[in-house]
Amino acid sequence: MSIVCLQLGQCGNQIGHELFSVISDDSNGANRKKYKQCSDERFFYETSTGELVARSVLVDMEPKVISQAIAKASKSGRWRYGDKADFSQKQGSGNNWASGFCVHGPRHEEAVEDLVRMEIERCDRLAGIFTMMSVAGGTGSGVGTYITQRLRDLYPSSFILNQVTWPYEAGEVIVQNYNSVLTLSHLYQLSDAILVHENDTVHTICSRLMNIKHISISDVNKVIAHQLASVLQPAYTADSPCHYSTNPIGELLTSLVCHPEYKLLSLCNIPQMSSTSLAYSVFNWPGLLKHLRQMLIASARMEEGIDWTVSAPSAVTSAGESGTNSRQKSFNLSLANLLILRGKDVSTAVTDGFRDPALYVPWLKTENSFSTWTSPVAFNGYEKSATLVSNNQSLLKPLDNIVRKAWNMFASRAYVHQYTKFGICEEDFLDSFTALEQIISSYTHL
Amino acid sequence: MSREKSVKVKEVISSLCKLLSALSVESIPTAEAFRRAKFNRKDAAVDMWSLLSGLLQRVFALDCACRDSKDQGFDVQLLFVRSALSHCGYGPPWVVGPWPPSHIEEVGSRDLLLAFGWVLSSGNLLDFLLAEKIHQLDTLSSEPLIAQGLTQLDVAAHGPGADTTVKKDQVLHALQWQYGKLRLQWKSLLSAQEEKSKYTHRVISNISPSAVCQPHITGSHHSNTTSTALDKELERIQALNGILEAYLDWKLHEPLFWCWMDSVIDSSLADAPEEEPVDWPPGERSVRVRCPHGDETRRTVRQLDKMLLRLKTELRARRIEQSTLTLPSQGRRQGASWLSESQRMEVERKVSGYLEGLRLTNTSAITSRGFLPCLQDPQPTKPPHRFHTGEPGLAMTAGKLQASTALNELREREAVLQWQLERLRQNMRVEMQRQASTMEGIVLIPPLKR
Repeated sequence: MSIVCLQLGQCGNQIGHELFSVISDDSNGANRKKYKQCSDERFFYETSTGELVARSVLVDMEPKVISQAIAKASKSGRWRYGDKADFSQKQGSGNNWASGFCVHGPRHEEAVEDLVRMEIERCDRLAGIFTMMSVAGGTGSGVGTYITQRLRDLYPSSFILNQVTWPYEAGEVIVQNYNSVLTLSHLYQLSDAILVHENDTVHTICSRLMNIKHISISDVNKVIAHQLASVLQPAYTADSPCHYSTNPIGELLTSLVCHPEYKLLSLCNIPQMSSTSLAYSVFNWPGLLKHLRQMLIASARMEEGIDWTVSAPSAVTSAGESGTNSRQKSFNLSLANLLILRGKDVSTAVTDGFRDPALYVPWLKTENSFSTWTSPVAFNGYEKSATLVSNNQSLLKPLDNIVRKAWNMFASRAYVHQYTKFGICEEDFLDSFTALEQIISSYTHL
Repeated sequence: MSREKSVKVKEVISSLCKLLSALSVESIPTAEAFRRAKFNRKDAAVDMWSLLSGLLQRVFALDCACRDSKDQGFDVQLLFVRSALSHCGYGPPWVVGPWPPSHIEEVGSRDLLLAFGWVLSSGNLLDFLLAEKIHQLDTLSSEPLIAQGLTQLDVAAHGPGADTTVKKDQVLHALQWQYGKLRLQWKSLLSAQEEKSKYTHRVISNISPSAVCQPHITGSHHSNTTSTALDKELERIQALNGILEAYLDWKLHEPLFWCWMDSVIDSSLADAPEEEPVDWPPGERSVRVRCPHGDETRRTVRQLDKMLLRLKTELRARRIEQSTLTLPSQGRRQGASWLSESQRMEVERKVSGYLEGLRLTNTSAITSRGFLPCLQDPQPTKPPHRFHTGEPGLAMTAGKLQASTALNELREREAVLQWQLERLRQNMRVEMQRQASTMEGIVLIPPLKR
């Protein structure tokens, strides 16, 4: 049972490298033989000489980031990337989704497909394809979308989970909102679920919780990798309570994204702090879970600055009046949640707070909406750690912002010619806007 | 050689027959019947007829109420086939003519074969049938429909304000969720199954290499112990596999089949003149699909092929020339690739120029040839409906040329000539630049634009 990763573009390759580093560090901790065995099988394969090689394909249109990632990986001494698992070109996509999707993607599809096929054939069982990319740039978003489309055609019954990084709202690239709109609307058709990280929230986590003064891209990526690894590392699940699950992505999807209209997943994680203060901190499960629950219903991304006044609508009013008006404005309604607990005494943790039907849409029974995974192994240096993967309304606001900004630009047809010259017409833009509006409306009227 | 070819054709047709029967089209004839139909043998007519009507029944089964074609008389079948064919846009005389044939033999097996070819080639018929069939066998592989229509239906049934719609909406949502869950679980099981079969294969191939080659034997042993549900599942998967394999096989052979169909058309055209009935009313005659341009088209295609070949060899020669020129002198790799890029552009421009020229010469040839004979010898006017024989003549009134028309023609001709002149000039310029670029140390400065 293995996951094949796909690192697309600059962002995807950096996050991918961090992810494998975190996984390798975590698995090599003390007292975790079975855990390491399972994790190794999930993310690496062993060569005849006993080296661990990541089950990952690296794709970028520029060589720089990929060669950095490969060099850093082999320097770690614990693992490395495959010898022929990377694909790069000399010239980038120029932050243009259309250039990636219409030019680079089709031009290099065969080479990339071959690499992915090799990795997939190496697995005894493919648990799923996990892609990492940003939605703002050209290669990750454009080529990534194209590759996802091809993979969906080639492996129609495999799971495809896309991790996407949303750009800073202030903006790195002028056309980032166009790129985001085009990527998200396409991925929504293709992917089984889209796992979203927002640069802005991760950045605040770095500054407020980790106390980093000068935040670099690498710090941001480390936080993202930490959160991802806390989901993807081995755990006991409902389907396999005595062994580490052999179907992590399948079970993740089954518990969170069964409905084709609702595919956006957000992640939050507790605790997160700098390693210096970690040594002096003690956590208990009730405290952590109480915070995490409030983060969920108040749609906060970290444990600092949670709005404690938000509460779930009481059962009486929600039963009496059906619909949205009884709900508080800031209350964050969920479709489904997956809680992953790792560390000491997980069996004592009480998760009843998450089973409250008031947190969820009325048409789903709570046993369908909430599931828990556990692992007794301490994760990545944290004695206790809880992660919540959630299908809820919290991404509405940032998504709405992206669509609104892109629409404002599109209304004056700004930069559209940069896309039409590669074959994306205004119709395509309109279709994408419609698709995202549909998603927004679906989530609004949960 | 020809024997080998005929064997190949037989194979191709059998693969088509296999696919059709897998798609549950009824009464498939043998490959031999196809061959006989090509030569318009009378004995193949019945076979081809039942194939054609079977296929059409299958395609239009949803639309028409008439189900059991075998019980119906020939008249009803004929009516159905004729209307279905004309619905597909196929219009030979026996379909659209005023006097329908009263017996199968009157139609002629080759005509039936041609009609079959037409139906097959129009609008992805086989793909459609395949998708339908697979959907029947493989329900979970398709996404659930987010049934907009369904909710609207509910709204229509209960009135928009009714409370029941909200409830129903929720029930629908829950149902869709459950369906999605089922689908995801099915996918998980598939991957688990794959894993298991991989392991089994590994174990078996380790134990005895011979056992791997005989999966049927081991399978039948097991079937005694497994449940009937599994057997059914196995049957379903095997049926699915069979269909997909047949389709794949057909897709491999498809181009050959169309080549063969071309030969059928050719032989039909070759026989056509003597059997052409005289008493067709002129309106129908124009409907008959004849290709007097066939030869011309073929010639043009051949010409284009030759041109392509010539351009390719030219390009290769130039590339070699360039690489020998640039590599030893400068040794820049970038330079070489840049040059080949510019050459590519040049060739592309040339090709488009040729194509444009070809188009224009084709049209201009008509105009230039068009009015000359009129000035000398006004031909007896052709019947206007016979435009299908080609040569759309100039608009003539009683053999005289109108001044305004001639003027227009001349103007057009002038434009064409101007264009050709411009093209030649451009070619010369490009050629000069090319030659100049090969001479080292000489820089040519284009004249100032006035």
